[in-house]
This record gives sequence, structure tokens and C-alpha cells, in this order.
Amino acid sequence: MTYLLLFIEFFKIGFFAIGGLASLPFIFDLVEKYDWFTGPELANMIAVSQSTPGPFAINIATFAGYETAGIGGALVAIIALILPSITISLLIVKVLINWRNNKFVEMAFSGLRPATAGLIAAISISLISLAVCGTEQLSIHASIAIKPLIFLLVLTPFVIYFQKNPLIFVGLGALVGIIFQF
Amino acid sequence: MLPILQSELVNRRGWLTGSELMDFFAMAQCQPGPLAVNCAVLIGASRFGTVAGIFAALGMAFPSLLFILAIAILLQNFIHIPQVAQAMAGIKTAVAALVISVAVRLFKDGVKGFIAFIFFIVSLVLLVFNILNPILIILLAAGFGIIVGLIKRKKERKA
Repeated sequence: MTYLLLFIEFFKIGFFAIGGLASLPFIFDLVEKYDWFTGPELANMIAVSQSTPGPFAINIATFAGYETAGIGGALVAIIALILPSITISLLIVKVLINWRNNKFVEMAFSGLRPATAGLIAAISISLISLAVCGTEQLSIHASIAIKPLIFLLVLTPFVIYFQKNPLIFVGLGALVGIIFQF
Repeated sequence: MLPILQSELVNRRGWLTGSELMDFFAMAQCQPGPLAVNCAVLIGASRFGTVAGIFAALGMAFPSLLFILAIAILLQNFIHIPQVAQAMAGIKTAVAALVISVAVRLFKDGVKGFIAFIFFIVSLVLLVFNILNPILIILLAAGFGIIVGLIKRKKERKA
């Protein structure tokens, strides 16, 4: 049963998440829906997926599947995630090679682009909360960890300004975490 | 990812030209699903057929499977070591900063004009306050995008 639910959820993610980190809002949604993993566990999974080579969406699907149902779960999650992508790409190669020039597709994207920006902005709030308060829901009762907060405030402008390889910042994060004993 | 595709597929294998690669890459960015898998299937299938496209997708996913399983198993055993937990806390903070920067970039690239800003704010609020799930937000955004587009076209025709 868990395998089937994993398959359905990751198939949906594969179908509806367009672009790099777009899978994040959907994965956060799973925390609310099932008891597969908690917010803080998800934060660890995201941290690992971002620091490992390979597409982020596949990394996080593998980790989430493994956490939920072991190695079989990881395989189910990966297959479900890439199935829509494979099907749609094959369709495009065979019949829809000019789909991008369709005016309705262009109109849909004029709504999807800003909405995706909004979803990722919402997720960055959850991630800040997880890094600084250890919980994904913002609350006035949450205790704030000062060291990660300062690091976040210092690091963020650098990351925005210098569009470098994410792994540089991930490595820096690990180093700062150990040196300043987060 | 683009530099590796360029050096391996264009320069070393000669499976496609640089400009074909750019076309596929642009197309893959607009499709649902992981960009890398989309690229793999588009290139594999258009050059060598359907089965090749599927194999290319599996090839893209396989290293992730190995790396993540290895790390997940290691992490289970070593997360109780203080330095490992501290490093993870530092990485989590860095990842938050990275995702903020992605949000900023998406905002700069994709939110142009008042209507786009409304789309941005509404999806942000709907997700932060858990009012709708992400799939519904995406579907509504696409739907309203089409509606707004059609209204705009009507106005342009009248004018």
C-alpha cells in the first residue's frame, strides 16, 4: 500500500513540478499528508540532495522513498518521478515537436512562471524556519538558534550576488556549522 | 549541466550539434519533470529512438540512486556524532540561502508587470497559509494564465 501511495505521489510530482527546485512545495505537502517523515527529517534530506551530484528532484525522490519504505521505496519513487517526464518527452519527439510555439502553452506559462516563483518563495520561508527554529511551521513560541540565523543573514546576500556553484556554499555551510558548533 | 552535455554529447560523441543541444535544453526547461531527464529523453529518442530515450532517462537517474542510498545509510549511522549534526545544521542554513536566491532569480526573470505580480503574491500566500495544495495552485495558475492571455488578445483586437 505504501508503495502504491509513493508511486501516486511521486508521479504527481513528476507531472506537476516544472523546473529545478519546483518539486520542493510538493515534497513539503507530503509531510502534512502522511507520516512518512517529519519536517526536520525532510530538512536533512533536502540538505543531502542539494549537496549530492545529480538532479535535485531525483535525489530528493530517492531519499524520500528510502526513508518511507527502504530501497524498494527509493526505486518506486524514482520510477514514478521520471515516468511523466519520459512519456511527455517521447510524445514531444514523436508528435508535438512544435508545442512550444502554441499560443495556449505560452499563455499558460505566463501564469505558471510567476506562480512558481511564489511557490519557491513560500518554500524558502519554510526552509528558513527549519534552519533557524527547527520546525517548518513559523510560530511565536519557537526558539531561535542565533548562530544559524547570523550565518543565514550574512550568507544570503553573497549567494544572491555571486551565482556560483551551489556546492561551494554547501561546503562552506558544513565548515561553518562544525567550526561554530551549530 | 549544460557544459557536460556539450563536452560529452557534442564534442566527444558527435551525436548532435551545439545549436541542436541548445534547442533541446530550452525545450526541456519548459516541460514538467526533472530537466536532466527531459534532456536525456529528448536527445536519446530523437537520435536513436524510443528505447534509447528510456535508457537515457534511466542512466540519468542511476547515479542519484547510488549516491543517495549510500549517504542515507551512512547518515543513519553517523548523525549522532556531534560534528556530523553540526555540519548538517550548517548545510541546512546554506540550502535555505540557496533557495532564497533561486526565488529571487525566478522573481526577476518571471514576474514582470502587475498581473504577474498578482500571480506571484497569490500563490505565495496560498501556500504559506496552506490554503491550497501545490498541484491546485499550479493548475489554477496555468488556467488563469490562459484566461488573462485570451482577454488581452481580445482587447488588442478591439484596439
